[in-house]
This record gives sequence, C-alpha cells and structure tokens, in this order.
Amino acid sequence: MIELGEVVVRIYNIFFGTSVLFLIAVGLNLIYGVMRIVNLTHPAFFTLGCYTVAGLGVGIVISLLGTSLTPLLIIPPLIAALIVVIASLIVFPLFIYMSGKGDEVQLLVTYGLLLIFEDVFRLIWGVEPLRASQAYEMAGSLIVGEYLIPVYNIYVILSALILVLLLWLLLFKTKIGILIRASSMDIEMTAALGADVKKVLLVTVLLAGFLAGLGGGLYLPSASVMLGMSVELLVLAFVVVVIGGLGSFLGSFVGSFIVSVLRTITLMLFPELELALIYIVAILILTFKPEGLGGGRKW
Amino acid sequence: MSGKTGRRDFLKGLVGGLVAGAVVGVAGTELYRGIAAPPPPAVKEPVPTTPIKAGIQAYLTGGGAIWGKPMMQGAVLAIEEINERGGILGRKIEYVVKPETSPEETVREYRTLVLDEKIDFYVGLISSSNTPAVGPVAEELQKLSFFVDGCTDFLFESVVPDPRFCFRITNIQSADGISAALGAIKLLNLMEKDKVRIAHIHPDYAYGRNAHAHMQITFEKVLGKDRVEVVYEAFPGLFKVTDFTPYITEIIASKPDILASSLWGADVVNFYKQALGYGLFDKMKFVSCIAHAASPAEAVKDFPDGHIAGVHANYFFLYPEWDKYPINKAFVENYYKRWGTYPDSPAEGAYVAVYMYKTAVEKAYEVLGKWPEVDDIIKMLEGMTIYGPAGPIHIRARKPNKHQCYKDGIVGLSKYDPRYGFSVLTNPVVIPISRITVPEGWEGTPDPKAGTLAYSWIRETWKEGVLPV
Repeated sequence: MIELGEVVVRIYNIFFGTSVLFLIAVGLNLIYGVMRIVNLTHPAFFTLGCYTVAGLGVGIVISLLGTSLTPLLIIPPLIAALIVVIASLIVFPLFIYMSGKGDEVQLLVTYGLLLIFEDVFRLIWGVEPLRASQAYEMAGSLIVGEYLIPVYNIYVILSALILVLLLWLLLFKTKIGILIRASSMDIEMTAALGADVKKVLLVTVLLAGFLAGLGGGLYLPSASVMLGMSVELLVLAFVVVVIGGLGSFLGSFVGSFIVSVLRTITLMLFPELELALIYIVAILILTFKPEGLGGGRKW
Repeated sequence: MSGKTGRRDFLKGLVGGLVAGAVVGVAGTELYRGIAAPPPPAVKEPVPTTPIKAGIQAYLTGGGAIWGKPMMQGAVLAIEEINERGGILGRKIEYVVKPETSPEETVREYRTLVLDEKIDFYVGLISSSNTPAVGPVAEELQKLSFFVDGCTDFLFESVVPDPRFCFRITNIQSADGISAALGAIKLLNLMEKDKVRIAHIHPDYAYGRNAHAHMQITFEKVLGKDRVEVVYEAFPGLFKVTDFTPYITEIIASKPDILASSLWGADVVNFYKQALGYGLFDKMKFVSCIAHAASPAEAVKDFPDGHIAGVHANYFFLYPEWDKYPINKAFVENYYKRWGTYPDSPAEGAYVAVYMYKTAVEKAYEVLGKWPEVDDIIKMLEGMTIYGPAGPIHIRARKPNKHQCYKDGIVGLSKYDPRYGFSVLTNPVVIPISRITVPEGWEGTPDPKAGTLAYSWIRETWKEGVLPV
C-alpha cells in the first residue's frame, strides 16, 4: 500500500541525488577523459565550493543585497565556482607535470593535494561544520499529498539540467568542445594536427573546477560542510564513475542515476544494506562490464 | 529496582573508597571529606619544584572536532585556573596536545606522549573506538590516564575489566540511550498512549548500535513490549552521508510517533535541516540522546522546539541552575571568558578530569606528607566523589565497571533561546544514575546480542510497565 505522494517524493529524491552526484562526477570524468589522470583532488573542489558559499558567498550577498531569495540562489554558487576556478588555476601546473607520468605519481600527488586542501579548509574555516541555509529555508516547501518537499531541491535539479544542456552544447557544438573530445580520443594526434593542446588541457581543468565549485555551491544550502567531506565524497564519486564508466559524459549521468535509485530502493526495503548494495553493484560491474554502464562511449 | 536499593548499592560502592583511605563522597547533597587513614604525618617532605606535565589528546579535525575542540578547551581552562592559583602544591602544570584520530594512530600518539614527552598524567579521547585501543596501552605503560569520553560499555566490562591506571569521566554509554528513552517517556507522556510507533536512525558503528539497543529495551520494558512497535530502522555510516533526504522520506512514510536517534555532529545538523524542509518535525517527536551535547551553538542552532534534547546523559551548561549551584556558574563564566563560547559535555568532562587529578594529589599529600607516587594517587581516586560543574561525580572502585565515573544524567525539551542564539535544553528531567546503571558488585553476564551488562540488567531486573525513575 504505497501512496502516490510517497512515490512522487521518492522520485523527486532520486532526481535530487542524481543531480548532486552528477555535478561531482562529471568533472572527474572530464579530467580523466582528456588527461588520463584519476584526479583524487576533485571532491576537494566540490567541498571548496561548499565552504566558499557557507563561509564567504552568502555573507557577501547578504551584506550587499540583503536577505532576499533570488540573489541568494544565484550569486553564491557563482562566487564558489569562481573561487574553485582560481584554485584549479593554481594547481594546474601540477596537472601538466603529472600527465603522462605513472599512476602512482598521479595518485600520490592528487591525494596529497586533497589532504592539503582539507588542512587549508581547517586553517581558514575551523573545525565546526558550516552551513548557510538561508536560501533553502526561504524557498520553503511544496505540499504533495500528505508530504512536503523543499523547493530549493527543485532549484538544484533544474540547475543541474541546465548545466547538462550547456555542457552538451559546449562539448558538441563549439570548437573548444570538439578539441576536448578529440584530445580525449587521441591527444598526440590532436597535437600533431596543430591544436594547442596545452590550452585544451587548461580549459578542461578549469571547466572541471567550475562544475565542481558550482555543484558544491548549489548543494551547500541544503546541507552543511565539514572537514573530511572530500574523502567521503571521493569514495562515492568513484562508485558513480565505476558504475557509469570512467571518462564518459553519459556515464557520469548513468552512474549518478543508478546510485540514487539504488539508495532509494535499499532505504525503502532493507535500509541496513544501503552502502553494501551500492558497492556490490560496483564490484559486479567492474567484474563483468569494466567499461561501465555508460556503454563504454567516450562521450 | 526501587530507589532504596539503588542508594544502598551506591553507598556500598563508597565503602570501598573508605577502606582505600580516599576522600569519601555520597551521591546526593552531602559531601563528607573524612579520611579513614592514619593521621597525617607532622613533618612534610618538600614538594619538587619542577612543573607537572599533562598530555591532552583530542580530535582537532574531521567530524569529531566539534567534540575534540571543546574537550581540549575544558582541559586547558582547568590547567590555566590551577596555575593562576599557584599550581598543585606549588607545582605548575604544563601541557602537550596530540591529535586523536584512528585507533592505530591514536595509540601511537599516546605512546609518544608517555615515552617521549614523559607526561605525568593524561586527559583525552572522545571516540569509543579509541578507548578500547588506548586502555590496554595505558595499563602496559602504567600511566595515569583520564579518558574524557569514548564511553563504550566494553572498555571496563571486557577490554580492561580490572584497570589500575585508566579512568573514564563521561557516563557509561548505555546510560545515554536509557536516559533519553526515559526522558521521552516522561516529557512526552508516553505512558498514557495505547501504542507507540517508533522509528530509529543511528550512526552505523558501536555507539549508534549501543544507543539503539538501550533506547529500544528501555521503551519495551517501561511501556510494555506489546505497546511498542518498531516501524523503521536505519543505520547510515558515521559522517558518510550528507544527503539524508531518502532516509527522511522513508521515516515519514512509516508514520512513527517518535523518531529515536543518536546521530551527532555534522550528521545531526544535516539531518534536521533537511528534515525541516520535508516537514518531518510536525509529524513526529524527535528523541535524540546526544544532539545538544557538544558545541550546541553550531550543532543545534535553529533546531525545532519541543523535541527531546539529549546531552549524552551528561551536561548542559544551564544546569544545575546557576543561582543554586555556583560551581557551574563560575565554570560557565570562566569558560565563556576564555573561549568566547559556552561549555558543553566534553568540555565539562575534561575540566573535571584535571580537577580530579589535583584533588587526589592534594589529598594523598595530606596523608603521606610527600608528593605522592602514582599508586597513591590511584588509591585516592578510587571511590572518590568530587563536585564538578555538572554536580557530584563519583569514581567507582569495584567491578563491574571499576574506574568508571558516575553522575546523574539530564534530558529535556529543545527550545530556541534568543539570549544565546541557539536551541537550548529546557524542562530538565534529572535521571538519577544509580537507577539506570548496573550497580557495583552485580554478577550478571553481558547480553549476547547487545553486548553489555546494562542490557541484561534491565532485562532481568526491571519490572515491565514501571517507570524506574
């Protein structure tokens, strides 16, 4: 006996979960696709986006424009994205250094960077969990049957949809997009054909940073940010990427969607198995379909 | 168990302290400072002038830091207060701080404190994963160690059943779930309901499992098994989930009357904020054993009103009321002056630990006439009762749970207080500790499923359908 309201809320939760996971995973896949670097630092960029909104962005907006909803929805995530793009720019030389080096170098450097970022968060923002839920609260809730759903989460879902669309346009309809995809297929050939590969790499790293920062910035008002979050997100992001397929745009979406559906179903039927089931699926996919469910497509 | 036997058991425990020649206290309102040892020697040996060295170990990063930071601040405040007043018998206290992390790493840092830093005593630990790891090492290295929290029942029931060197300040873990459930029954008038539908959400590790088991058995015993129906149970990984929305939906869909929870730190922050957006708090009462316990200014800033506010069965800075209990008032004021925030359970625990050391050293000096050896200090500590900010706190001298400290627990209702700018504990209900923990000398065996003596003790000795407090 399941009520309609329940079903609607669950589907809504799945879309929200998919949106958030996609915003984390897509940048990870972009960098792997183009540079063949498994960027363990990536979740720290998402976390930096969260910290920027909670510890800086919302404060700026409120002091300049007062506590009104529209600017709070739009501006803080953009500030977060900007800050993360700057951070990406700072670490970009390391990515150039790492590309073409062995896996162990990449793992050590990117994981080391993640730990450094965590310490920087601690230095700047301290040890307490931070939040800035003004937008989440002001947006209020919608009534669906006997249930309430927060309007803010709809905003996150719509933003993610728009980003998917823009990203698709960028990758498939612009010159730089074509170059990014070409580099991901054969970077030497792309270089040999006269493309400025270094510029392509720079754009890729900054784009991944932009998406992570924006994602973190959009997510934060509905949750809080704390130290250690990067490490937890790292695990989740990798499950998404393994399920969807490493290095694939479509795979990021498929992986995020499957993980969200699995979460909702396990929590509904056997909540004790939540994480276990997600890992089991990841293991099965690694064993039987290592290219992931994204169809093994590059893009 | 009736009130009379509870008190007698408590007193029986205190006899051990008397024999050991310790300072003797009585739970309740009186404090006797008698010493059942030979009269103090007339001539006292000079006390060394070198400083005493304390080792502090606390979470300074990660999700546990909102407990670790106040714990460190509580210890440092006590040390600074003591130093300002001339130290312990004229000896100043110096301190070294090391991080608490994973059990393996925490033990390594502990060894560094003892072997390299050569500390005289130790104050530290929040996690119940760490006390069972450090406890045996403290015994091996023979270092006087006060564990502030890490309150798992297993430590003194099975890992170190006969400790010499380690003590623990915070109430035993089972008391946490039991007091929250009793508080909920009283404050929400659950005895009057025909049926109570309960949902559970707890972090998936020893602490969450322990809280779940003891809340549940308390509800079943006191309300009666037939009147309690568990409609949903979930155990999200500790600090592994930031998006609780799927849990929230399932909890609402299961239509419980109360939601019992031991989520803490960032988990409880994320959970209640998201739950507000889904209207969860209008549909049920949230019964938390721990949400208000640490850093309430951050953890429960805009927590909804009228739900059960648990403080880990330990301390909330407004109680005992300041005008009636100046020790608490002074502590809160000094802590606020030093750190710019209000003290909480871990801060109070660490603060008390340092003062316990001071009191034991001074009493031993009175008896021996010289700076005491560690064994003399331990003899003084065993069975001792001192007055801390939270009220009288007693150190048990005999098994089971030897060297565990006991003080009355407190539970209340949450209410936002504009004077402080965060949710505080109101309508306090004091839960006498002697009624909810296994008495000294009880010879039962730990429950095989829940793993604790407290669980078996409740199952075997509580009467179904009767409120024990």
